[in-house]
This record gives sequence, structure tokens and C-alpha cells, in this order.
Amino acid sequence: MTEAAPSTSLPQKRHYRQRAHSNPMADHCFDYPQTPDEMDWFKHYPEMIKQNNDNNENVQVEFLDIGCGYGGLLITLSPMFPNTLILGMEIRVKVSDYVMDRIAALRSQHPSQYQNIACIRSNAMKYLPNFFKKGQLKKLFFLYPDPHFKKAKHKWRIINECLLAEYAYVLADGGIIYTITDVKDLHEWMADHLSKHPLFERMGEEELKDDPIIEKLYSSTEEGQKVTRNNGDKFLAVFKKISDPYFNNTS
Amino acid sequence: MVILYENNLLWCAFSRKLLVFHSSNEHEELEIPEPELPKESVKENNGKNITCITSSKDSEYTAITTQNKQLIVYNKVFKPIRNIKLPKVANKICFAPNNELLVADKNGDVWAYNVNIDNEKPVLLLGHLSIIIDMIISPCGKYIITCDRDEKIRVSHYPNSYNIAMFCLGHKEFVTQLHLLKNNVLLSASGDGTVRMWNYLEGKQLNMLDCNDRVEESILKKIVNELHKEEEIDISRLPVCNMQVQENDNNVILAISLYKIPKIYLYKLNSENLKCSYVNHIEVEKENFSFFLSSRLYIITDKVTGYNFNNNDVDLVACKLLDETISRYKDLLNHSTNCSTLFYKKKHNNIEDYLFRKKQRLESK
Ligand SMILES: C[S@@+](CC[C@H](N)C(=O)[O-])C[C@H]1O[C@@H](n2cnc3c(N)ncnc32)[C@H](O)[C@@H]1O
Repeated sequence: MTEAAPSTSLPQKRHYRQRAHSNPMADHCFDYPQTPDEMDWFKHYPEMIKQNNDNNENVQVEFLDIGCGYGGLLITLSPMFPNTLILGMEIRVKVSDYVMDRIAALRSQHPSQYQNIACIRSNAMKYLPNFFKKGQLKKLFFLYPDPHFKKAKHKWRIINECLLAEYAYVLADGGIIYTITDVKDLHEWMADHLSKHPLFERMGEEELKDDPIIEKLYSSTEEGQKVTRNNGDKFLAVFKKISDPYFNNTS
Repeated sequence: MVILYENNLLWCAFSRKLLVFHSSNEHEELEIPEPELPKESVKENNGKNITCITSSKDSEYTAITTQNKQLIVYNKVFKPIRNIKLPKVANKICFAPNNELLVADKNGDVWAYNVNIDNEKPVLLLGHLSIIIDMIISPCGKYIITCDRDEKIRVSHYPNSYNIAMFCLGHKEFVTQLHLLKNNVLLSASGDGTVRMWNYLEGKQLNMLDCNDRVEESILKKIVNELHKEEEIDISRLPVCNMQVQENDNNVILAISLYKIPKIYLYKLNSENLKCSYVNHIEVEKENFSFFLSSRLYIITDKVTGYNFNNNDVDLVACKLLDETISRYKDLLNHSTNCSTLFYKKKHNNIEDYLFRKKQRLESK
């Protein structure tokens, strides 16, 4: 969706501002593959995929930042996991376009870097199974998701009982969901729904202390930085996908 | 009109009438109790027609739902034993082999009701983001298969339905109907005008039948143009409205109707290699009709006509009793299908607009 000749200068955010909320239930016009096999990832990660084809290896996206906003987390994770394909999914047209332009500019400023990150405009609440196979993803990120305070809008919340089944579907066993928010009510909502879901188990401090990603969750993203500037609280909850206890009990 | 043929009983529901025909062709009309909280339902002026019907595999129970959100369960001798008020209008119901009743509501949620216990709270099994159009449960009782307006077929474990076993993806429009063959091949009919065959545990499409093949170009064009003008819907294929399946040995008969076409197309499907061949079609006199397939094909307009299959020929057969009974109610018959134009998405394209303006901005630098 970006222009043919990417600009080498970083995009300016003021050209890409957009109303904060986009209705995830509305029928927007999205480009999505009918099945994961039909997805052309080469377009998004040309260097990585070329290299891997040369070595006869098969790389696939393993980290997904849902509602990636302006893309701060992608850019932080890129050098930390140089061999992992990382994707941001963002529903807002201008915001996702900003991230695409930002990555294109970074790639041309720093040849051979930032090849492992990309952004797609899509509705993560509807199309995950079109992009990813069962158990394909290792990590899912929900950083500062839209709080949708009103009770009537709770069904728009990106974490809810029914959608957790889809997140569990695309995650491998042992895969991790990271959530962070400055809204206490939303934090409790997310932690509560994840705790109640039989396929997720909360990870304790002990388990997380060697995970280099944790400290990056607080202020890699634009939203996280805004909360810091306003001296807001930050609530973290991390969950691991486990195998279905229903089968463990019956077998 | 909702029709169910199960355990040698034929159930016909239309308006607020429920008839059951025995194999002897005798029939009885069942009592439909009013809601237990009449005050509440006064507000609802959506009508009280029957919307869904289903029977348990062991024929212990039959259940119906109505537009005014009633769920009524009948026992073996056709007496109502439960009269439950649903929180949402039901779109599809079915019994699991353990006789738990599954109710898919307008919001895309599936609830499980224990019909043996009075006032038991239902359990939420799973949810789609859009309306569930059809739902079946595998004979082994281990999987619920649901399909929705968003092109998706979801295979969930049962009763641990928080665990999705697979998605069957490939349809390009809403999925209207599901059917499992005896060899466990899943058939799905869709607004994209196709019937697809699946290995549903692997999410693999095994074959596909394009049901628009038999439609004349000029007729297709006319219907497409009308839809465009009247509803601003742009399509190129006619949706499959109803798919009825009858299996004997390796041969499967598919009877298929398409949106706005007063015909029923008959296909033979080889259940081993899943090859489909066109057999014949039957012209229907009226534009609105219902039909069902048992060992025979019955078409209901304001009367009933029956057909027999003989190799590739279809012959009219008498069905006097059925016809006489149904004709008596002809003012009450309503023919609805699984394919509502509401299932189409009005696509508003805001990307092209944005990209155009961005191009202008960059060029004016
Ligand atoms: C408050 S922002 C946080 C952005 C980013 N994670 C950060 O920390 O800066 C939430 C983002 O999620 C996006 N979003 C909301 N619903 C979405 C959906 N269904 N699919 C993809 N993105 C979504 C919004 O457009 C918005 O950019």
C-alpha cells in the first residue's frame, strides 16, 4: 500500500493522525488472504524471505503486535530478535500507513536492518485465522488497547471470552500473551478473562524475570510513553498458552 | 416454513403452527404454549412465528424456537415439557448426542441448555463475531461446526468448545448451510454460489461444486442488476439458498436451490471420490417455495408435489395426504430461506480515498 519509491526520510506523524476509535464490528474494506497459504509474505519481508529461500528454510511470522498503533514495539523488538518475523496489525488506515512508511524509511536508512518487521492494516478481531495457521504464533502483544469504557461497548474490547478462543488457536502451546494498560478496570477485565480461560495460565514474576521483553513493554510504544509523561500507572499481565486440561483429565 | 425430516417423522412448522407427520402419513398438530411471562412479550411486535426446529438423535426430544424468543421442548409423545424464555432470538438450534440443546443466537453466541432440569442457566460455549447461520454437531459428539456471515466455518471441540480444532476457510461469502456425510466429509453451501467438501479436522478443501454453472447468463445478469439497483449489493454469483442431502450407499443426492431462481437442481455426488455430476432440474411454479429431500423430493408452494428418483429421471409421485393437509393451511405458509441479502456486506472503501489524498500531498511538496 506504500508508494513505489519509498521516501528515505522518516514520516511525520502529523500527516497520519486519525480519530482514536475505529469500530471493529463494522464492515470495513480489508485485504486479507482467503487462507494462510495464500498470503504473500514476500511483499512484507523481502530480504528475510529471500535469504531463507536460499537456505531452503521456512520462516513464518511468530510475533504479532495486535493494535500496534505507531509501531514503537516493532522497532524495539526488531534488533532483539533479528531472526524472527514480527508483524504489527493495525485497523486504522492512516496509522498503519504511517508504520509502513516508517519501516520503509528505517530500512533505507539502515541497510540490512529492520527487515524482520512489517505492518498490515487489518481487523485482528476478524481475520487472524486468515493470516495464521493453527499454533503458528509464539507471542501476542496487546499494549495499551482501547479501553472502551462504556458497558455497551465492552464487546468491542479486543480481549473477551470468545475472542480468546481465536487467540489460543493461532498460538502454539507455550506461546505467550503480553498485556499492559494504564486503565485499572481494563487490566482487571483482561486478567480476569484470561485467568478464566482454560487454555491460558498466568505467568508469575519468577517465570518472567529472565524475559528481556518485559521491561520493553512499559515504554517502547507511543501510548506507553504518553502514559509515562502523564505519570500514569501501568498494569502488566502475562499469560502462557497451555494444552487443553479437558484432554489431560480424560486421557 | 421450517421443515425437519428425522427418525421417520416429518415436521412442518409455519407461522405458529407445528405439524408432525408419521410415516403412515397421519398427522397431528402440536400445542404451542404461550410465553410464561406474557407481560414482557407484549412489547415485542416482531411476531411469534416459529423460527427453528430440531430433534434429538434418539427421538426423545424435539425443540422449537419462536420470533418472540420462546424455546419449547417436546417429549417423545409430543407434549411440551419446557417453555423457556431465551435472552436473544435464536438463529439455529441442535441437540448434542448427550441431549444438551445448543442454541445459536443472533449475536453469534452458542449457548448450551440442559433440557432435563427446569430453570437451569445456560452455559456459553463459543462465540462468533457475526451471526451464525448454521450449526451442526458431529455424530461422534466431539465437534460443533458453526458457520457465519464472515465466510468462516469453525470447528470447535465439544463440550470444551473454548478450544478451536480448526477453521475451514475458502468460501468467498457467507456460509448458509452445513451437512456431514456418513464418511465424515463436511459439505458447506455459501453465498458465493458454491458447495464445498472438506476434511474438517484438517481444514482442507477436498472439492468444490459451482452451482451457478446451470444458470443462464441472461437470467444471472438480470438478478445481479436488480440486486445492485435495489439493495446496492454487488455480486457475480447467486447464493445457494437451500441444500438438501440424501445418502444411500456411495451415492449422495444433492438438491439445491439458488436465490431468486424457481428451480431445484439435482446433483449426484460420489462420496468416495467426491466427484459431482449434474442430474436434472425441476421447475417450480412459484417463486416462493420450500422443499425437502427424503427418499423422495417434496416441493411445497401452496400445495405439495412429490418426486421420485429413478437413475437420472425424476418422476412425479402422488402425495395426496400431505398435499391435502398442507393445502388446508395455505394462507399461513411462509417460505423463508437461509439466504438473506442482509448477509452481504456493504463495503465502504476508505483506503483508496486516503491514498489518493496522500499522493497529492507528496506531489505538492
Ligand atoms: C490505544 S492504541 C495503542 C497502540 C499501541 N499498541 C501503543 O501502545 O502505542 C490501540 C490501537 O489498537 C488499534 N485497534 C483497535 N481495534 C483493533 C482491531 N480490531 N484490529 C487491529 N487494531 C485495532 C487502534 O486503532 C489503536 O491504534
